[in-house]
Amino acid sequence: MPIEQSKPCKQPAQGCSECLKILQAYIDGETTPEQNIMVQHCLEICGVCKECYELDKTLIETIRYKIDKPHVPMDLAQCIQDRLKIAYQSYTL
Amino acid sequence: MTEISYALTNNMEELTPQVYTDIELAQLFNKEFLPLLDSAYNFAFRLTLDEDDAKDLVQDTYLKAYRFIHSFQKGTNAKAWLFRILKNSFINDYRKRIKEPAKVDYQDVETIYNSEDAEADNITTDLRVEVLQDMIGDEVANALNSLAVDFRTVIILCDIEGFTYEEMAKILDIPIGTVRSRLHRARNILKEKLENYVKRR
Repeated sequence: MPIEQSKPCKQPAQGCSECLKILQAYIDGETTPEQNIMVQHCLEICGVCKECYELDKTLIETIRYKIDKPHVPMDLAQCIQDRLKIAYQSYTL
Repeated sequence: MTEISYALTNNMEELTPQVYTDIELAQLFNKEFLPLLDSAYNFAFRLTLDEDDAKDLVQDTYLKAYRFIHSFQKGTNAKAWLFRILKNSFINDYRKRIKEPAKVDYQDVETIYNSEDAEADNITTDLRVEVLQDMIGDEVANALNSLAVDFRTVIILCDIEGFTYEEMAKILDIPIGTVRSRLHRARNILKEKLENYVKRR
């Protein structure tokens, strides 16, 4: 669900506070169309916001693609099926 | 924990209990839930940080899913439903007895409770894109694992498992605004930790 509408940026030179507030939500695809326009406009004119955007985007991609998934124990699926079978039998008795 | 708490509804209103035949039940588990095993184990491992605990937690989760299957509405989000059970099981059963008590970073906790405006606390960081791109997965994983569990959880759900804010709100039973602010803070703290990691190299 999109977050509430924000005001347009007014402080590009200092880094746009409104833009920075919703930047991560924008990257996550959780902003409204109006907010998207506001952020996109800000990213075109504000170096600070653009830098934050690139950093947050890289962070999210790093987490998503660089962290190895743990190896699932070979016997886990079988353990679950065995326990479900027992649960099923006790449930139907 | 009550049975209805497994229903994925925001207002906790009671849903009509679902009735499944034996065949439907078997199909449901084989088609909907068992294919989620890798994701469930990954989530469990990131929560417990222990292989044996993660294995036990996933098994318990599936047994509870079976036990409370009548609260699962067919055609709804099976992954979110299963993850909600897993998260609740972790809080109720495992968090109390995991070998290493919840790692509390007091700076993290202070950040949670001392600031009302979630998005206002943009932690300034000197971390740069190129440095982040050069980091290896283990460094990022270690930094993630060092976060307080509530922060770790939102990052796992969003950035690794790809849940939307709305789905996360239902899994965690918190408002969407809290999801947004917690995630924002979690990522900012993670950036700070990664920056410290780089400085210590």
